[in-house]
Amino acid sequence: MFLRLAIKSLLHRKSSVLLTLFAMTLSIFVMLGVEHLRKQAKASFNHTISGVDLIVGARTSSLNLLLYSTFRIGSPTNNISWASFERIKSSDKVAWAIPISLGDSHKGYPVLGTNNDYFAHFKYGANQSLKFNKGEQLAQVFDVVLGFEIARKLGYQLGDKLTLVHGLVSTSFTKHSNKPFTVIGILNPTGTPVDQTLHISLQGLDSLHISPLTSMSNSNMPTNNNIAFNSKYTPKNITAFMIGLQSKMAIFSMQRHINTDKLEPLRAILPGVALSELWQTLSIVESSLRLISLLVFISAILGLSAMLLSSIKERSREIQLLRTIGAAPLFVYGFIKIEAMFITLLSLCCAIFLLYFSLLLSKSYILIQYGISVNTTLISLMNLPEFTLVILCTFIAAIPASITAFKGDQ
Amino acid sequence: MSIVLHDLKFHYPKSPANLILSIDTWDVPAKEKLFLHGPSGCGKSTLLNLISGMLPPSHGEMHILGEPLHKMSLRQRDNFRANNIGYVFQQFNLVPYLNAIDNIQLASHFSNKKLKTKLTSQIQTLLERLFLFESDWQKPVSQLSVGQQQRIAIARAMINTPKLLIADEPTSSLDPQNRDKFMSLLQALATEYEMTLLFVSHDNALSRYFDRAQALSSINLASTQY
Repeated sequence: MFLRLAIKSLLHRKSSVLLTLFAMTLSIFVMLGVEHLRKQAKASFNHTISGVDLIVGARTSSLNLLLYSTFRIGSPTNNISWASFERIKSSDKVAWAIPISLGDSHKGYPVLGTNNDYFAHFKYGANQSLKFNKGEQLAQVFDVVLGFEIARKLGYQLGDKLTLVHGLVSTSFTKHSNKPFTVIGILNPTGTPVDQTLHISLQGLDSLHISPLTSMSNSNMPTNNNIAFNSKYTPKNITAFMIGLQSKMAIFSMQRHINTDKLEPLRAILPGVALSELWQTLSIVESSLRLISLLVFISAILGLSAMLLSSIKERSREIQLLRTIGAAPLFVYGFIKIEAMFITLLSLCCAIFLLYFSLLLSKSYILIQYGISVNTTLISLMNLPEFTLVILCTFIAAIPASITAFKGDQ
Repeated sequence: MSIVLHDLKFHYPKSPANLILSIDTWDVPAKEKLFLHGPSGCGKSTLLNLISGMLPPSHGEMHILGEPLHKMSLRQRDNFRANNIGYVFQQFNLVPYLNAIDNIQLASHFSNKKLKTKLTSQIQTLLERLFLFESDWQKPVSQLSVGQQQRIAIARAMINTPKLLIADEPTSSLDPQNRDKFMSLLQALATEYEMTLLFVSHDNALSRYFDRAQALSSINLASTQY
């Protein structure tokens, strides 16, 4: 009877209740959405790279180096010489080093030139290695290993041929259609930019950039046709490289050693430090978003409170009547409370529903545009604080109206 | 005796100097149909609120249906009212967004008489008795005429078979034809259910329906201004 009365009463005041419901839904949507994206972005961020002790590139800001080497955002200011790579790799403090070369793309996805050390040593998430979903690592000059997302999006299978272009746009005029690459492996999904990257050999990458003229004049470069895969192949330049050290203790001395290299201006960064630096730069955006969503929520809660209070004024007769036929003041109090709770719970459900579908729709867009892998699990223990906050605020917001109704005629 | 008041005084807690009711002794025998009249503002509603337990007396004793209402807590009085007193007002007797049946059920919900199995048939009998057609039972009461609403209000007041029925100007918003219909139904039901009927109005013309008529000013010593 209690619930039935509350529901019929809400239905009776459809228009004002619907408006309040709408405002509440929107504000909870914004609040939960911002919180969810913030958490996901942070998790995704910190899981982008792991197990790499230093990233070395041309002298530039640490953020720029991190952005282009790890997130494939922006472009390197300069390349570094292969000689420097070899020199640093040969240091006895260095356990392994992965060269990377960037600058080309395939249908808008970045192409990364590297060697098979990449698959052996690069780690992401909680120290997870890259695993092959299908196929295997690079064997030939024109082999390509695809990130999971590319293979899925573009529908590539093992053995497919694809052509790469110079530059980072999908409609480049300088297509090297005479050099098709063969898909030899597809990686497992990682939720990092690796999913959107095509991995080819350094030799394959360089072969994209030579015209027949230069190939004749430069004997070191691979020629156009039937190039044999040479594991000892050395390019002139690379964009950056990642190193893992024998001992974590040596990180800072190694960093200083690289930064003060006499032969070439280099920059070494600690990925973890750079990541948190990058996150710091976003923290103003993060906290202002949180503040805005909180304010939106507070205004909706105040709206709910005002709506309830004005409804009490126009329903004083109804409340008086309930009292006369024997309803205890506590019943009336609970009656108003349950109305508020009902509106909020319904709003919460609507907001979660709405958020779920918007995330589902925008998931791939967010992943491609921002490199953030968003999961659509909204109802989890992680979100308990927000849910509790919503319920608690409603409880508080309904107090003035409930007390007014409670006192009523006394 | 249905109502026994002794040395009863009432003033609002915030203004103790302004005595609204002061009744030395006043009795209403069981099953009596009493017409209490007086101009508006003479304390009629206050007296009814005291008798129904909506307001506690400031001083004195009141026994309603043999129960010492002045000794009861707020909760006990709410419970007592739900179980023993039927109430019909001038207007706003019903929750506007509920239909006739829900309104009557609501009154039954607050009482202790849990005869839920017989409830529906009881409601139907009452509604038929009060000339309310079955087609109107499921409509929100706000869509019905004032005459129909007042008759549903009787049914609402009767559902818990109270021993005391209080009517506070229930006919003021009715036209003469509906008023007569309402009065005769009320009288018939009060006789049938052996209830004490306390009917309050400013309209002296209605006194012809009752066993006894009394002016509130004749018992209220505080109403010197009238």
